Amino acid sequence: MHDFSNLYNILLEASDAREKIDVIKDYLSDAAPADAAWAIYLLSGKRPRRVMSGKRLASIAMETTGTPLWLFEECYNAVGDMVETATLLLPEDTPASAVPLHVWMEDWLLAEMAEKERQQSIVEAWRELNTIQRYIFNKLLTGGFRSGITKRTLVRAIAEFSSVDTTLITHRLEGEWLPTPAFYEALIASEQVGEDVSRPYPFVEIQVIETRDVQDEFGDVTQWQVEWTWGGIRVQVVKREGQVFVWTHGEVLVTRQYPEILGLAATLPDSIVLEGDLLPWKDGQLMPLDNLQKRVNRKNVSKKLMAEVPLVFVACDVLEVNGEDVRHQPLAWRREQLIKLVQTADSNGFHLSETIEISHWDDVHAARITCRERLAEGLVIKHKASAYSSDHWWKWKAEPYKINGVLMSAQRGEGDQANLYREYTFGVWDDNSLVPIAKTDTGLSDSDIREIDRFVRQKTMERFGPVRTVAPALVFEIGFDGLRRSKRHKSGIAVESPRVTGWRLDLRPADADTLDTVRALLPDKHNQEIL
Amino acid sequence: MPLIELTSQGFYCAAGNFYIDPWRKVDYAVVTHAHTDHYTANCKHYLVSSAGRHVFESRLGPRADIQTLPYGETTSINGVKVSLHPAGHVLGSAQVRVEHKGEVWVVSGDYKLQADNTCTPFEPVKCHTFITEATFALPIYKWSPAEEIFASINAWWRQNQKHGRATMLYGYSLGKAQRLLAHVDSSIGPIYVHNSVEGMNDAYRRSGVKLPETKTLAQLQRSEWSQALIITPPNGLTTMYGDVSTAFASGWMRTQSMRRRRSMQKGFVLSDHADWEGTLQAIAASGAERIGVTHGFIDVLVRWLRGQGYEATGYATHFSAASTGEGG
Ligand SMILES: [Zn+2]
Repeated sequence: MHDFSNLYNILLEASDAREKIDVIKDYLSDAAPADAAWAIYLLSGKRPRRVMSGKRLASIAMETTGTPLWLFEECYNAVGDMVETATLLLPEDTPASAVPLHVWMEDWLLAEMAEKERQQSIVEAWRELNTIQRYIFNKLLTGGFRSGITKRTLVRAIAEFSSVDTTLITHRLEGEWLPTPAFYEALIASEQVGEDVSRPYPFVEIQVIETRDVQDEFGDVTQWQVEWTWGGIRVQVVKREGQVFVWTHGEVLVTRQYPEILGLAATLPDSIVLEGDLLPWKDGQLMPLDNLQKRVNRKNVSKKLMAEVPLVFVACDVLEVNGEDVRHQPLAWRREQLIKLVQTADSNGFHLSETIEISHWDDVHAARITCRERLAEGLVIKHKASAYSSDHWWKWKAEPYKINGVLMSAQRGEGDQANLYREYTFGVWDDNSLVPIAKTDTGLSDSDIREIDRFVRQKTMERFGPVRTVAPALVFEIGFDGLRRSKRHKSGIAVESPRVTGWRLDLRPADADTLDTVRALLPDKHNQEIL
Repeated sequence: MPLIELTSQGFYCAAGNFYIDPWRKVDYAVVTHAHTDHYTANCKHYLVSSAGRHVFESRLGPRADIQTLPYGETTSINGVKVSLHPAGHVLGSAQVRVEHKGEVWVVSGDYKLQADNTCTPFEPVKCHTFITEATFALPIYKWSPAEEIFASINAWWRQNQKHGRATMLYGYSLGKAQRLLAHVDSSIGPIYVHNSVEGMNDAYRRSGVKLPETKTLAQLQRSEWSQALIITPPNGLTTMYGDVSTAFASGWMRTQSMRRRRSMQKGFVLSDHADWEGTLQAIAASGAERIGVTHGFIDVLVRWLRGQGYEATGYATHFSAASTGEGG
């Protein structure tokens, strides 16, 4: 157990995913299978049943340490967490315990015990454990243990440790399983025959075009396929041996979240892998993309929700046909196969990605200008002769929206930036007052930031912790990639990836935009009035 | 009338007409130590411990009128006997013992019971009334032995070097920084400090405290980045040459919520104040029956002491109302 508490502590303090992966690998290389199974169970976010409430645990701690209730409450006020408070009250000076994790879990935590026996066993466990171990133990007892790492990090660590593919590890960790040594052995075992049924292909990365001079960079326009991209959920749909699997770009298996895809896949031939986007689609047209949020990360999808936000699958590529990997084939060839598949499939929810007729780069520029009214995120440009590879997929985003906002307040940066006010909130006019519309810390040069910092300090109106509000004086151009209605924002609008695109020294605060101007940019204009 | 009372200027001894740790400028200030929440500039006269002379001079400037008194020696101020005794908090920190007509009061200032090579260890002083600090007066505050903390700081530094990261340790410029310097294993790599820390290092070195070699951040070479230990106050500004692992060394790091609030990757629970048990131990060792409580969890400690049969009073000083500026 010493090792698991050590692992937990390092994970808490680790700064990046690489470091976390390394310590998990270190742990697995030393741990007995019985302990490794439990560690993976806990790190994957699965929780053993709660043994007692935090309150009950606190009262045992008070009784053991002779702490009166009023004093416990004072401590709780300083700590803010009942179980942590109880833990910190316990006497110190116990060296770390070497009792293995599976003994904790199976003998101390999950064994059935009478109430009195339970209390005694907890007090005995406390005597055995050091502070961080007690903290973990108490959190487990009360059902509040959080590993603080993502599933993706855990999967990568196990995959690297076992040399088993990440998608296979993901698949093996799906669903219900018990943390037994047998499970662990099977988890890290090399691939079994027939087990690759669900496996997607590694997604190619799409590179973002930063330049406007696409002509110079890309050359002959007829060599390129240009299609719209809508910013949906990028997925691969895998159908093998009659089973269907939907994988997201992050290698998360989401089949059960999207029942409509199961339906449409039924009409596809077997032994096939398609790539494309899930998009909200209703009454023959694309819905504003924020509707997608309602469908993401739902464990149970109700009929009502499916009717409210129906999804379609817009396929843009085919990676496997008749069980054969076709990623090396030229895009033009794959496109032909894809068109045939869509034509023969008998489903309304299965679309083909829409390409644009072009004979000159001017046509591409012209198409890009219409992105906003089409609700498109931008264009994707792929070389027609290319294999399925990261070198050949490019995204050209729509021109950002631009508005002029007034600096309303500034917040201190974090960490080493804490001495500068460098995170800004900008507002637009609504009647005669400013409402916040965007908060950002990107887009300005260091010298601008220092100048604004001086301004903020001189013109402070009020201070709230790390935030200072300032008199309206400075106007900035704010760029952002999208916007949607939001009840959580005072303005009623949330903007996506805001950044400062210019300091408008030529504008006075009164010249900045109004909330009405921003509302007019909303994709669902007919809904503006009800805001 | 009590020998010492709390006025709008600070603790005041009417019989001797002097103040202890005043927060407004007064004619005569006896000052326990040079943290900003215990002294104020521009008093006419200061009395401090001899051990703290250089530290105070560096904080108060060359023009301040500073008298010093060795630990344990007695002086008389307007007929009131005053002596200073080690508090173990930072270099020169003192408890102030005041005696008049057979009655003895001690004002502790900030103190700790843990060992620290950079200052004289805390000495209990018998008195009738003991005015104690209560910065960490909650039973959740328990300090592990300092050697253990320094061992884990050393291990962390070595680990960072292995991963090519600089090691940045945040600690207050006066006291904590020097304690860190004096106890880390300086053979591990080069040590760089913020200017404000180096200023205090000078004062410590002139006072005869042994510190390892330090360079200021302006001298920091890119080539030494990943090997270096950097000690800086939390608001210090540093040029970054690469990856860095940061940690805060403070008693406040004992709770997760505080760690999160500081958004630190790591925290070392190392304090220059007494923990709960330490505070109770110091109170018992004073032999006092009347206890004054100031700075920190005042109400909690007062209630606890009353429950234990003490006559206890809380003193909400100007400083304790404000957020903790230094110390921790
Ligand atoms: Zn202090």
